[in-house]
Amino acid sequence: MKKKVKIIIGLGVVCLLMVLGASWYAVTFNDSRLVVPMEAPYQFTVRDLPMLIAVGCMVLYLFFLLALCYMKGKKDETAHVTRRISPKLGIMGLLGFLGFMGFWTYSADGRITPFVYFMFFGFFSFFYEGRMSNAYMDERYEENKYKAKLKAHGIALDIVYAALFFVVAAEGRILKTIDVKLMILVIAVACSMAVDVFLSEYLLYRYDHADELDESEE
Amino acid sequence: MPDFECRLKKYRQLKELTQEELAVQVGVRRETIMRLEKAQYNPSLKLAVDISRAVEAPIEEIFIFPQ
Repeated sequence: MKKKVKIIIGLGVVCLLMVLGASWYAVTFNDSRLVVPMEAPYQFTVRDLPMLIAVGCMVLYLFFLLALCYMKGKKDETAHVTRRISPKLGIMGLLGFLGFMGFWTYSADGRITPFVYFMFFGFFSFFYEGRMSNAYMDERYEENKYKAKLKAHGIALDIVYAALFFVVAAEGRILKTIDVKLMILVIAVACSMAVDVFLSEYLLYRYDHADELDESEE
Repeated sequence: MPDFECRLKKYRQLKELTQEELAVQVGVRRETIMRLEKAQYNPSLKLAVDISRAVEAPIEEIFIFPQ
């Protein structure tokens, strides 16, 4: 198993080195083509080959990783166990703070896309999914899962309703431009998705571990 | 909270089964058996029947619902 992981990581390192090498080649011998943005329509030259091959390998490697994750997920599903995941991955939820970049990009060039990154707060759910990792999914688990999802979906939808109500109610008085309304709605939808994902796992964990019992065998 | 009395623990101990062994037999987690014994989980009909067969006791004697 460890050997397999080493091979997978090794392939990734090789792909990364190929991209770095191809970038160096392009900057040194190919006028930085395919490294910096090109204005004219793209025309193939033989010197582009190293970069094309390196990027192609990297893309293939990423597809390979995705396929591996998918197959592993299917395997766990058929074994009726939850996927194996580390609670430490929950730290990725901090990526949600990237959403605040939206305020800066909006004032700089009017872009509101970064607000979507608030969605990444949903990664905090890995803290709880990790704690339920590799657990057998019996009927009580399934029941708790549906109960948790139902409640999470309801709360997420309430956030969207509240934002929509606020935008409609405050129109013309507080919110004067369509940009601000759009911004509020994008933030609300992104946050509601994060809340939905997080609460689904958090509530499932809470329901599953509710009223922790004395686990000693009598 | 389910409103019933559960005598699973008694019948399980009569059969000299541990919670883990019973859980494996009926295809659930040990935590589910624990909650069942504390009458904190209302099982599906299938699980109730499986448990009844595993401990060889009538279902209505394991799970007692008030009239």
